[in-house]
Order: sequence, then C-alpha cells, then structure tokens
Amino acid sequence: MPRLPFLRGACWLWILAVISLSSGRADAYAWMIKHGFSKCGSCHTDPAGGETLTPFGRFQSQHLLSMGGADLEEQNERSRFLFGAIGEPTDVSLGGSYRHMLLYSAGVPGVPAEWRQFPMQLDVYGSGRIGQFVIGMSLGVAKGIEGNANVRAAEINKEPGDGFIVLSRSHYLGLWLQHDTLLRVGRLNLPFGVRIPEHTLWARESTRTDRESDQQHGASLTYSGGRWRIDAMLVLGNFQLNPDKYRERGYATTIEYLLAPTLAVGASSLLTHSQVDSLTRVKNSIRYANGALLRWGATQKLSLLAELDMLKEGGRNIGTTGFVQTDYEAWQGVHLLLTGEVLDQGLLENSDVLPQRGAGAPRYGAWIGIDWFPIEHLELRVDGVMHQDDVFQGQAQLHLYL
Amino acid sequence: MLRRIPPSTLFCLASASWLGPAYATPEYPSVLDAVSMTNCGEPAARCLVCHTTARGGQGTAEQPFALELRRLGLNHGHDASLLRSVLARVSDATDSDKDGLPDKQELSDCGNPSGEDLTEGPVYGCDGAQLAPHVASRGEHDPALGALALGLAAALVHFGRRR
Repeated sequence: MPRLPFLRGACWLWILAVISLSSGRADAYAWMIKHGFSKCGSCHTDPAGGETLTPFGRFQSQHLLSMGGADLEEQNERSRFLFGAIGEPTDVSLGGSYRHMLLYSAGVPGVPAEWRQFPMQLDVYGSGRIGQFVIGMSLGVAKGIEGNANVRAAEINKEPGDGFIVLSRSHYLGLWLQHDTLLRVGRLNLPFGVRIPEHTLWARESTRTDRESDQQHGASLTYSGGRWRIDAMLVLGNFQLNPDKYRERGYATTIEYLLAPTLAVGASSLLTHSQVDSLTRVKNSIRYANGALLRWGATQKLSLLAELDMLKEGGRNIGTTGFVQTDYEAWQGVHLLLTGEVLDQGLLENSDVLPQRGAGAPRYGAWIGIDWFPIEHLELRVDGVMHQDDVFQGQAQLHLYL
Repeated sequence: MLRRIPPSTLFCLASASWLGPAYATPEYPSVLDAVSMTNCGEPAARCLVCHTTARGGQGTAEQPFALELRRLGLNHGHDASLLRSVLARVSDATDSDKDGLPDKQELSDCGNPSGEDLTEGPVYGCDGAQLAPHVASRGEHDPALGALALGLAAALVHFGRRR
C-alpha cells in the first residue's frame, strides 16, 4: 500500500504535468561563483544550472540577488513561488518566467531607426522528486513566429503560421544514482560552454547550445561531487523536429574543475551528425565544437566568465568563437556588465566567397549593460550591443520570474 | 494553502492573455514574394536564398544571389525598401548560380537563384505519425534508441529494488 506522502507527491506531479504551464528557461547566473556557489545544483533543481530554483536557491535569490536582500536574516514569503500565494509541497518546485523585450535598432543613412517590442518568453516550469526519481518540465507560449527558425525548434503544436504556439524547451525523467550523480532522459539543455542567459551571444548561437530552443532529446549523466562537475549527454536528436533526417545524433559534454572556491576551469566538446542539417541544408552534415571555459569570482563584487571554442560546421572550414564577460556588482542587485565576443564561423568550402568578417575572418562585438534586481522576482536589464558590420542595437528587458 | 495574491503576480498572469508578435521580423521572404508576385510560403526555408543558415544573420548572407544583391547595393539588413529597390535593379539575364535559369525566373517559380531548389524543409512540432523515425523494416531500427531504452529500464528496475 503506497504511503500517503507518496500519493500526495504523485498528485502534485500529475497537476504539474497537466497545468505544467511551467518551467521554461529561467536563469542561470554563472557569476554566482563569486559568492562561492560553484555548483549550480545548490540553487537549481537541474544540477547543471538553469530553470527551476530549489528552496535554497529561492532564498539566495532574495538574499544575494535582489536589492536590499543582504539585510535579511531569514527567508520570507515573498521569495517563494508566486510570492508565497501558493505553497509548494515538499519535493516539488515550481517557477515561471515572463520576459518582455524592447529593441532599438539604430538607423543608417536613408533608413530610420526602428523600435520594436515583443514578449520574448512566457514559460512556466517545475520539477518534482519522489525518492530517487525526478521529473521536470517546461511549457510556454509564443506567437507570431512564422519564418523564425529559432523558437520553432521547441514547438510542440503544429501551428504553421502566425498563431499561438506551445513550447516545451525541456522535459525529462531522472534518477539519482547517487547523491551527486543524476541520470536523465528527455529534452535537455546541451551541456556545452558557460550556461548564460544571453542566448544571442555568438558563442551560444554558433555552437547551437543556447537555452532558448537549442535543447535536444537524449540521455545525460551529471556528476557534481568534490571539485568536479561533469555533464555528458548522448544526443538523440530534437524529436520536436520532423522528419528524422534533420535530427542530430552525437554527444555533448562539459567537464569543470574547481581550482579554488571561486575559480573554475573547464572544457567542452560536442559532435553531431545529421543526414541533412536543419538550418543549412548541408547533406551528411558533421558538426563539432571544442572549447575551454573559465568562471572566476575575483572578489565579492567582481566576476569574470570566459569561453573560447573551435567550431566546425558541415560545408565550412574550421572557425572560432568566444566571449569574455565581466560583471561588477556596484551595489547589491545592480550589475554592470561588459562583454566582448568574437565569431569566425569558418570560410565556406567549395565556394568562391572571399573571407569576410564572421566567415573566414574574425568579427568582434561588444555588449555593455546594466542588470538591476530591484525586488524579488523582478529583473530589469538594459544592454547596448555593438557588432562589427551591423547597426547599434539597444535592448531593454523586463523579466518577471515566479 | 491559497494566500493573498499580490498585484505584481496578477500583472504577470494577466500578461499571459496578451502576446504580440515575437522575435525577429522576417520581412525579406515576403519582399521576395511581393516583388516576384508569388506566394511561396515556408519563409524560414526561403532565408536560404540569401543566407547559409535558416537563422539568417548579418554574417551569413553568403549565397550567390546575396552576393549579387550586395554588388547592386544591398549593404545592410532590416531594410525592406532597399531590398525592393535592389531587386528592381537585377537584370533579366542575371543567373547567380549559373544553372541556366535567370534569377528572376527562378524567383517567380519559387525556385532558388542561389543553387539547388529548396525543398520543404523541417517541420516543427510534435506529430505522432512523425515523432518516431520512419523505418521500413526491422533491420533499420535505430540501435541508439534501443540501447537507451534497455539501459533505462535496467536502471529503473535496479534502483527500484534497492529502495
């Protein structure tokens, strides 16, 4: 006869699965290493970071992330799911994210500047644990994405035009083999590079490892013990993409070693094969990337993230991408961000195209931004993005997270 | 269990009832359609007429037809009116991919002036009929999927017993 807590837990998981208009992308702030949180699993139910927060993570979000949180001696209700309006049962964590983006593209002679605004993310997400088993899922909606090859990769309904689509960026079943080793199957973030929220950063876009919609189905094994964090995934393809010839098969892995409590170095590797590349249509496409990463909390106020990757796409020569990001927390909850990035996706093979910035030659870019967490569950961020051979772009983002 | 819901939460939930257009404005495929008086559909695939990836982007406009447009003055993105005027300057005889068919005719036929004609491309979303790889015979089953299923089943049984 099952015990009552088990039934209650199962009931909540069922509710989670049904309404689970939850658990989308959420946030992974890799710079939290400056506070000594080198292990992502301290604050996230995903031991590799991102998505749903643990109860401890919620407290740290209030205590270390939000303005004025340092004065708190104990967690209060406002840090909890829905500001504490609904109590989560033990072993169930829920969350959600709403991001609204205002974009400014500077004009060029003869072309006026352009302003656009749109909801960028509306997801709910959650995870639950029964004994050694764990389940996690995200559901979200988007609209008007006809012609967009980004978000569609996470689509689960068949809306072809500009109507609403339902997304599931991640969903998985897992089993804790030991207290520090998790086996999961499902649609998962690819373990590659530094897991950051800036999904349009070249290092994430060119390696196709962003958390916006680049997740793939497969099986992953995550070990997070001692000074090591190892995340290895067998990639079986994105089963929300049809037909099968477009699905990639291969592996992705990241190994990170903690040299000091606030200094981690690591390496990532990815190799996939598809019969036809879904984005470039290159046939019998082999794609790989290998790189190094660094996370360093120099002081309680200053952190540095860096990644450098060598990449190779089907139909192109070897290229390079990478970034360096410094985060200076001037006051608690106010982050000044400066990021430099580089991209050379490799010269096209068998083509008369001459090298140009970004393809056969390096192209550089810079982001300068302010990220402000005024109160719990709220993030306001402004960025200026400057890329060679492109107009200046301003981004203002409102992020409400449940 | 239910407590008072703060206004900020209500605002967040209310926002779910309103969603405007999302993400980039893929205006160029519709400009191609308008200029060529066609309705070719599949705008994501049509990005490949000019770009080497369906995600588009400034540095990927490397296809032969894009190079021709660049030669005629298309030197930046997000400018539908400039694309219109540059398309008007493409001569009737221009054949960027040198396949014997003029670019304008290929555009009118929903073809690809940059090379091999674009097929329908990937379909997004779950579909029971397409979710599993199509297999014609038992011999073509994906061994990785089978091994994964077996391994997972074994792990579940093993750890289920340990509990």
